[in-house]
Amino acid sequence: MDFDFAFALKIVPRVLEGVGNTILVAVLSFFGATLLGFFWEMLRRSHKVVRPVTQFAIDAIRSTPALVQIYFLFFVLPYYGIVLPALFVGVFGLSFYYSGYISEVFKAGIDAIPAGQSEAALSLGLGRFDTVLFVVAPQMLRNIAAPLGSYSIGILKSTPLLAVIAVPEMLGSALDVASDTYRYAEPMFVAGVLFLILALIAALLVAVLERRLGVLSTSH
Amino acid sequence: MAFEFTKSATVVQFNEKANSQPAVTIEDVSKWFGTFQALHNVSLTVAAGERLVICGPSGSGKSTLIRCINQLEEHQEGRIVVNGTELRPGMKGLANVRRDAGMVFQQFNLFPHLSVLDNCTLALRRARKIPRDAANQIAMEKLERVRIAEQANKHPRQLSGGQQQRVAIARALCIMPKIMLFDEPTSALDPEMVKEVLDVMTTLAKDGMTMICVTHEMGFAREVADRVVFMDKGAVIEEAAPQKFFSSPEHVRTQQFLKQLLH
Repeated sequence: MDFDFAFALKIVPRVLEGVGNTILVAVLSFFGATLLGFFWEMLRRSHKVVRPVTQFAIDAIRSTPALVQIYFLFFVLPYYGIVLPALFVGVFGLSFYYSGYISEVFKAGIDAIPAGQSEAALSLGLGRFDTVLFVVAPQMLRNIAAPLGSYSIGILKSTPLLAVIAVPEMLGSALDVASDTYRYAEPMFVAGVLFLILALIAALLVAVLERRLGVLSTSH
Repeated sequence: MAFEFTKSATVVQFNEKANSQPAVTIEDVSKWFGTFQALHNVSLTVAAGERLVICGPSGSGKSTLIRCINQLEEHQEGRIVVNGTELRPGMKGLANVRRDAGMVFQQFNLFPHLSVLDNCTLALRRARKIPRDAANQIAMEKLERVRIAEQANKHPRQLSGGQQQRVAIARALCIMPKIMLFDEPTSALDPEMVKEVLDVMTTLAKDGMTMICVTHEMGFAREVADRVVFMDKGAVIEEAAPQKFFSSPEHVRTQQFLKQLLH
């Protein structure tokens, strides 16, 4: 089968129909994973009984395939009377899966701050909240920006997993074109290029953010 | 002699303040890290305006003791009273007590993401709710005092170790402490930067600041201290005026320590 470039161009609008959902799912999942990951990390730091339980949960989340988790949420939960909309399952599933990784990002970001930093803040009479907000968090943000950015791209690239539960996103649109026309090369090529463009945009945003945080810490 | 003159001036000032409450009272304080006992029934009183130097081998508990005074470490037994307020683990208003004691750390612990000026004003603005302009003014005054005002807009990493430590002293002074705690302030410095920090500390002492210094700078102890305390294995072994401490230490362990230090 020859690659038909004109056909590829023609189907771009149809594949793009899914782009809105792809971006929506990626952005929501990124925020969900970040919040949930932060929550795991706070749990892990909370109490010495809670810590090992949380650690086990995080390990379990990270050690099971995202696809299994998504299937479980979408096909198994209904047996127990829990029926969730596909889009919700998609966002929740990706958030859940990536939260395990992102909790490790927070862990490393906080661990990298020397204990002397909060000790200095406390010794100046700052309260716990102010110490976290003005001393720990800004330094943590600088530490986590780069790894968090690469997970945001990872999440974007994982959105096609949701094709299996029929969330209309970009890979789904490409597959629709393929099943209508019996041509796979062009739709997959177009989807791949569009993902590449989205990922490059995301990487650019991350780089800008990183530079800004870097400037915050080194400016004269 | 100039040296004698300073000493007698110190004594006069000390006597004037003798009636007021002690700046710090430590009674029978013990502390454990797990099963390791870091402090054994330590008792110590520091009068307002007094300068105390604590020395001792590493692991002797001197840093732990000074960190207990602003509760960066919690003690498990005994009493610590700072300016009339007893410190208890998990107490309310701990931040207020901490504001009475400025702390200078071995590793400076400046906030790397903030300018020198903002390092100094953060606590004023957040804890004291002083507006930025007024806070800046206070900070510049203190930076002037440690002779580093011209670096106010730089970030800590752009400064030398000695400069960073002087900023740390200014930052601690900004909260208007009644006591200054120094935890080995010159131990992390290159040798040529020790003097500029000690000079600032000496100036502070001459201005009448109550000071507790954990340090091995025996020249500083000789010149500035009213009393020198020697600690070993978590206990106070000996305390004496510097002249007596250096010329005729009573305990064998003190003698050994001084011998090692001076050779």
